[in-house]
Amino acid sequence: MQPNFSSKTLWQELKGLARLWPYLRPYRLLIVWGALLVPIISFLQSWRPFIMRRAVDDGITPGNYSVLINTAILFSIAVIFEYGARSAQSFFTALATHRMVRDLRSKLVTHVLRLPASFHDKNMSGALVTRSTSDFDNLNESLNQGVLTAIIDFAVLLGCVIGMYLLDAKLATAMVVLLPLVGWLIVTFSKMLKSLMLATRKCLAELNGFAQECLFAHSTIKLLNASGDVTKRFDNLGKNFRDLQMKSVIIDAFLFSLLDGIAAISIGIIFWIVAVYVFELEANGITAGLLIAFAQYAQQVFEPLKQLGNKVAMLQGAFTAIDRIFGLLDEREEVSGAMAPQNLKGHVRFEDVSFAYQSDRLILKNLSFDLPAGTSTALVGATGSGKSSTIKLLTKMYSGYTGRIFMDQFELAEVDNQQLRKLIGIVPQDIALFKGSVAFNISLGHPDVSPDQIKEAAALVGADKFIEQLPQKYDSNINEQGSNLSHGQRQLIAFARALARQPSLIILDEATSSIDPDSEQLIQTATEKLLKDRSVIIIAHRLSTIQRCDRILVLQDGQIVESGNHTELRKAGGAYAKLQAKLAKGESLEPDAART
Amino acid sequence: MKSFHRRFVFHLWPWYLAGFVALIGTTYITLEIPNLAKKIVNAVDSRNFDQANLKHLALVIIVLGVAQIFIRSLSRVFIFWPGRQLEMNLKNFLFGRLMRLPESFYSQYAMGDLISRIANDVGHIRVFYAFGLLQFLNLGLLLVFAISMMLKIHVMLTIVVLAPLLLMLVVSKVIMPKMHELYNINQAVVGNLTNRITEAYVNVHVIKANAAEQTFLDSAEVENRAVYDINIKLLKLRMFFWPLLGSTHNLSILAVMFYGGYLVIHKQISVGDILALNLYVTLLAFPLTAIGIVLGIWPRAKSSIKRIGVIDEAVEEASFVPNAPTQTSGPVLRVHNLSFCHGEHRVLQNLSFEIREGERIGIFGPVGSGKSTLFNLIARIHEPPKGTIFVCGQDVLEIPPEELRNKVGFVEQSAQLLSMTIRENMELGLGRAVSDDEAKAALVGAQIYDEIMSFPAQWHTQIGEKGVRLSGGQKQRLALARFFLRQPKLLILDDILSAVDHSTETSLINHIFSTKSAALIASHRVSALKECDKVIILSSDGEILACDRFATIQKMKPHLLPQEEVDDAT
Repeated sequence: MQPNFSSKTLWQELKGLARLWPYLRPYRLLIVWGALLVPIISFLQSWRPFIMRRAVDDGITPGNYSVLINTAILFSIAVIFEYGARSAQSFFTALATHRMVRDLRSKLVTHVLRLPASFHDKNMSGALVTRSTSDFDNLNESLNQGVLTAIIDFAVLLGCVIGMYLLDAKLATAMVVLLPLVGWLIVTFSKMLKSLMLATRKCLAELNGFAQECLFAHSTIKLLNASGDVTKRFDNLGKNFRDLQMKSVIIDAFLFSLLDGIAAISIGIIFWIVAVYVFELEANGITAGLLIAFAQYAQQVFEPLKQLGNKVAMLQGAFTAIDRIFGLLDEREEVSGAMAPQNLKGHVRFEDVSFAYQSDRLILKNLSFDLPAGTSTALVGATGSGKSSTIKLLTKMYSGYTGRIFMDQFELAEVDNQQLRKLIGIVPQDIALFKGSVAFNISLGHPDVSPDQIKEAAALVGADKFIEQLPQKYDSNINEQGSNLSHGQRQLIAFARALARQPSLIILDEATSSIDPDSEQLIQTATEKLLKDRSVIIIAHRLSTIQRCDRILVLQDGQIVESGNHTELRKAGGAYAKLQAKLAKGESLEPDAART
Repeated sequence: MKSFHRRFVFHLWPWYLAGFVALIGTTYITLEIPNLAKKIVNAVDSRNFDQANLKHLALVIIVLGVAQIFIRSLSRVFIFWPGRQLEMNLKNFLFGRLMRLPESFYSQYAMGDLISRIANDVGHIRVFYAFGLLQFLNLGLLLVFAISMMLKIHVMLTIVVLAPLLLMLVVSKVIMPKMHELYNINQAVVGNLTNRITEAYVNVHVIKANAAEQTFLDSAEVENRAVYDINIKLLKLRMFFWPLLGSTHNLSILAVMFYGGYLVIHKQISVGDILALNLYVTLLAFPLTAIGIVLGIWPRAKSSIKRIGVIDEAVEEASFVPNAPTQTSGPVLRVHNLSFCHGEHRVLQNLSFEIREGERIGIFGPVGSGKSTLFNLIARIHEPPKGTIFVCGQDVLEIPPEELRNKVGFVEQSAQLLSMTIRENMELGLGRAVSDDEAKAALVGAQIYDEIMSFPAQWHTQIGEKGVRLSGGQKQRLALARFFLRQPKLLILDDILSAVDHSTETSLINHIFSTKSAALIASHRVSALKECDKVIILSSDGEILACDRFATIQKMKPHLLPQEEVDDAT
């Protein structure tokens, strides 16, 4: 983000730019065409003052009409061709960058979805969205408006300088001496402006953020009689913003005026030199035509510099965007196995599995268990006991454990991740619904899930009743995050989703937060149905659910402390009996159930 | 509109005046330089000069060039400053109003829309009153003076020279709206893409778990291609339009050179005039072609003024009987025959009940039974019908809102905290300083003191994006602590006990009952309801099914009470 010119050398930055090449390669012909046009544009533009000089000195002053007409035709040709060349040049290069951005974005989005869960747990989705959207817009804009036009500007500048020297070396030198000075002024002021603008943007973000927050909290603010307090705070933020803005306005005004006035000053300087050598005009070949041509150059030569500050910032922007996009592309995708079993029975076996998120603290310690196919198992235990981690390893969301995990006869590491997850139906704690129809939310677009399977799955969990009552049944649209459905209904859709693919194993992560009684009822019934004759693993919080499972594994600190069915374990009077007593009192097993 | 100008713009006139004067200076200098250059060229051309005079002329050009830089800077600063000032005043004004507008106003507008009015619309207005005005004045001065100078040189030549620029004006008048339209489509399409990608990334775990990556990649790709397509359309328009700006300028110069050259040969103008005209054309080229852009600024600002007018004209909440005498007699809360509809939907039906000083009432009902609506009516977030809700014996409609909310402390289910420190959040709107002891007592009472003290900066910890993220339960308890500082006559808790464990719940209830406030507590939990003096049971249609002591209801109508998890154990 920071406008940092020093931390990375220009060379390194350019190497970053080179990483775009593989994506530009398919469109290299466009780039070549665009590049070929650049010297033509430069030539046509710097040629015009020559025509003007000839028109004045050989046509107008001596009163020669044929020269005047000839030069007029040449001038027209130069103007028309320049228009054509500029249009075509910007079209070719922009077409190439647009296509590259399209391809690269596609690649990035695919890549992000393939990054392991451990990556997504550590990174905010908002930042990743920015990488995939506005960073590309910045890149596109920076390349088109910044890098590519900078190349043309440079070529035009070069053309003008050459043209001026061809006209008159002494006067040309006077102008060329001014160039670096002006360039330096522009870059310096632009840098100041840039850092001010960054500060301003931050301030604006704060101002808008606060406004947004207060608007969302407007009723709370009213209930607290706090309108006055927050308004005062907003006023202060607004004042900060105005003051910062004014600073940039002052610098910007000066920069703008400088660029506006510099052409006039340089004309003055040239004319002064002319005045000094005025008695040797003939010897120096100084004519009215030459002066007019130079005045024309004076207007042209500073033109490319006007945007120099912006261009530098744009170039920075392009580098930043490239850094961020490729930084993300450099992240390793999740490791997958090659085996793709078409069907599984759902026999799960853990052998001496140990696992840690960070190297220092083991979450699972030599965990071993064997869950026969077709049975239901409840995992119980306090937060941090390793229930969720067990599931994460089983679905290959996390890797990097020691020991071995088997699904039927396959060792998990060797199985293809996507294929494995197709065969496992998961109902997570937090239900995610997507914009789209009910049917889409159940099938999630899997081509092998037929409409009948969708209905079947819905019927199985008892979701069919409310779906049939929706205006367009299975084609009814679900709002963002399912706000037009009740909590229970949302949960049922998640159940149906897990069942629709007719998975070999079902994993259910029961919600801890308390919900309204109606929804509770719906879910209880669905859970019961789910448990019958299937391979099921449940992270369970409700006593009623736990009781119905064939087998209970009690986890504590990443180890199994007890296993057996409800009756056996209750009799044993151990850890489970204690947990059960807590549950019966209505207390939660989770010490932090308060967190929602 | 008139009142808008009177209130926000007119008093800034000294700035605008100073800017205008500076602009006149700038215009004078800008037009004087070609005049001087012309003299030099003519002298060179005629080989008839006085060196000292030429040097003097050249020096004057340089000096004027330098002076121009400063005077032009001033003109921009003078005109942009009031624009910024206007923006600030307007934002502050609108924000202040928004904070005092009633819920009924907010329900009419999407939040994003309101924010856009404060941020974008005010921005559009500022652009007109700064950049727009500057361009407008600048263009006006240039047109009048530059064209009159040109006309002085040669009338017909002036017309020929300006023709291409005017043509460009017409072209841009046609192209600009198209470009705008495409920009808008582009924005919308980019929005779709962002939404698609956001949905996929936010739910990446679910998508992975269901092996549904391809589905979401495909839908993102559709939007990605749509973005590309619209970009190409824009590109085609741009590649036609932008180079044309430079080309029309060159066409004007063509006219100067060759028609002008013809006139020089015929001795109607001088060679120096050609240079002067060249410079005038360059001065006019940009402002004249930009006139389309400048003219587009005003309609946009005008519609923005209209859009913010909505906020300006909305009626602030107030008591309907201003200066009604304050009553202190009567029960803390009396609800009398209250029925309420959300649009067509009937939420509450014929509710009547009373809460006396110090009394604690529990309230239970399924989702949609209208509890939250009832609370919002009591605190007058929603407007109740006249004569239905009385606080301390007075119709809430007659109590000034601020005073009402001093009496009634309503802790919403999703109470909001602002991105400030914990302590600042507690003191928000309190209107007095709070001692450390007092703050501590409130936090202890809300059962959140230890958690807060475990943060590195304790109660000076920043909340929100830049600081700690509190859990939902922590937020609710902190919101509750705010009201322990206020000690309202009536404390209303909207289901804020559901997110805490049972022992915390017990301590919370004990603390609430130890204060002097009467309380109205919505809960799903038997353990909480049991402690209340009375329990109101609402049906899903918003009717009172029972209003009695818990024990009585348990005995007479146990089916009305929530199912306790205890039942499972047996």
